[in-house]
Amino acid sequence: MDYPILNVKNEDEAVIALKNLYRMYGYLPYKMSKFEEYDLYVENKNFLVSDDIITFSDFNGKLMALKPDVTLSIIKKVRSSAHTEKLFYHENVYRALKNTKEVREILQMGLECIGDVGTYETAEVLMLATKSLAVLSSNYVIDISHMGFINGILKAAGADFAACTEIMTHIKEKNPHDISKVCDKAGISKDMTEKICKAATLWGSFDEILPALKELDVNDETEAAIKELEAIYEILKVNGCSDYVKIDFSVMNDMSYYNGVVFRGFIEGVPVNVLSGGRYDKLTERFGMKSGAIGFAVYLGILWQYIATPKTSDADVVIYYSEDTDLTVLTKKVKELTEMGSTVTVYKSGCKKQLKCAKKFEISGGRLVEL
Amino acid sequence: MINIALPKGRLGEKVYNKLKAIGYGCPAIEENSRKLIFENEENGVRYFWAKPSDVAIYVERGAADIGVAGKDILLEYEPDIYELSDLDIGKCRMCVAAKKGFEDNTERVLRVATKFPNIARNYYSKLSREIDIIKLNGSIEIAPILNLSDVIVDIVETGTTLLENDLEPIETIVPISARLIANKTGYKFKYDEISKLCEKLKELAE
Repeated sequence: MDYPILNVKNEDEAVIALKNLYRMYGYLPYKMSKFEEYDLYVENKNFLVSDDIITFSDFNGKLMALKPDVTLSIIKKVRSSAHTEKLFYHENVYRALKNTKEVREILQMGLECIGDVGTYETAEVLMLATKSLAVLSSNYVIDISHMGFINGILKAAGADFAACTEIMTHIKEKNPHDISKVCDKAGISKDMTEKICKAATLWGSFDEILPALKELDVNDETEAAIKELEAIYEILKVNGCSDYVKIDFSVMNDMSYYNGVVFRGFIEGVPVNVLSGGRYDKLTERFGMKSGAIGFAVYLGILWQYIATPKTSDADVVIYYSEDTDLTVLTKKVKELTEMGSTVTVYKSGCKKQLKCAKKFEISGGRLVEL
Repeated sequence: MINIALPKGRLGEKVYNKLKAIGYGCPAIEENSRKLIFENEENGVRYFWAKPSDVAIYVERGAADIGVAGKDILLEYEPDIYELSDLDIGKCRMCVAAKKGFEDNTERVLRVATKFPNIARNYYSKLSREIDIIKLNGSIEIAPILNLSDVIVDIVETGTTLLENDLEPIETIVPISARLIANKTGYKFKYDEISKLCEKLKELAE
């Protein structure tokens, strides 16, 4: 895979641009602690991307965890709020890598809209997800799916829990051959099997896919989901984001937390998704709230792993000085140069460090002499 | 340009011949050379040979857009990829095998020797059977003979090796065949090229 081409020079620039974007649409910054009580995560284990949580005891013997996720902390904090909360965050999360089980600190930026979430709010969050990727790169895609649609089609097929779990695994893989095998074993009709296979393998823009979805509309649940996707599409079109959003039902999150649209973002050249989000009313329900919630996270830390960044210069100018250099002269010269806007680094002569600087000077007789 | 990872060996050659038959040939690959990467700009393909168990890793991490891997490897490593089609070649079964006449004593922990600890663990946890996994890297068949394990979990093609060692398959866990897999990002940004290749492979099979 080729290296991704980015629109931002470094992580700091990305963070600033994303913060400005979220503020522009009225999202407020939210800051939180690095750790939470372990219970918070244990009760909602399936909501987390990874099962591995780093724990430690505090001085009262209470079991604490380095936060593997931000959303749960935010919901805990805003659960008693009577209004819709629109928040964004910029935090490190701590997770174990899938195969090696090494601990990683991953920089994550994201936003949550919790409260009265309707079609406009859903489309707004999707638009911000799209614009977040546009800030980072010009070659990106957001894949959108709907948990209600998948739930509906599986219900219509009459699959039992075990078969459902297997079918969902294969939908995630876009794997029609194994879906057919499982359906066959579970006694699901040929017609429904074909519909599930079709749903799993579809991929394309709203324009291309929405007409095909009519054939897959099998009950009230799928109908409601398709209607919601259509409504979102209309708003995305106005925002000019619709070309980058593709329908893909292989995107799936845990059914016990997510209910509406779910989505993932990809940037060309980065082999894994750099953005993930969705509607998670069932999680807020668990916290005793009657509100809707939708949000997403951008994995900036992962993104930078795949960028080839050549070492930029150490400074515009390097000045070497020796034991007998007059330090006031040196200081004056550095002051002059920095005031003119150059970046200056100073080393003792004889320093072996390889420096990348446009100009190299040494101090001789009270003056700068170019080397 | 589609980057394709093929498993070294007979299976990879079979797959290459299929791809050649549908217009993705690459003359350089057929010459006997020590090169590892072969490109045919005209057909828009770049091939490379990889150790069969590594193909999924190359694809998951995007070094290859698509690749061919056995279902055994996919079940064992559970890579985050798309599994686009069943190539219907390299067919065999993942089996539990034991010495002839073996009877499972459920009063004690079952010792299982295998190259596929993840598959074995998943299989026995579904049966709620407590096991002791012995991870081996080859010659799995001798484990029950030397009483290193009670059973083995391994790939069975014809069953001749088992038979010659006085073992027999007692349970099929899952049928195995070669699968065409794709990287999730590569699939989107090379959607037309990859779909075309899949379509042609399907036509060839029919």
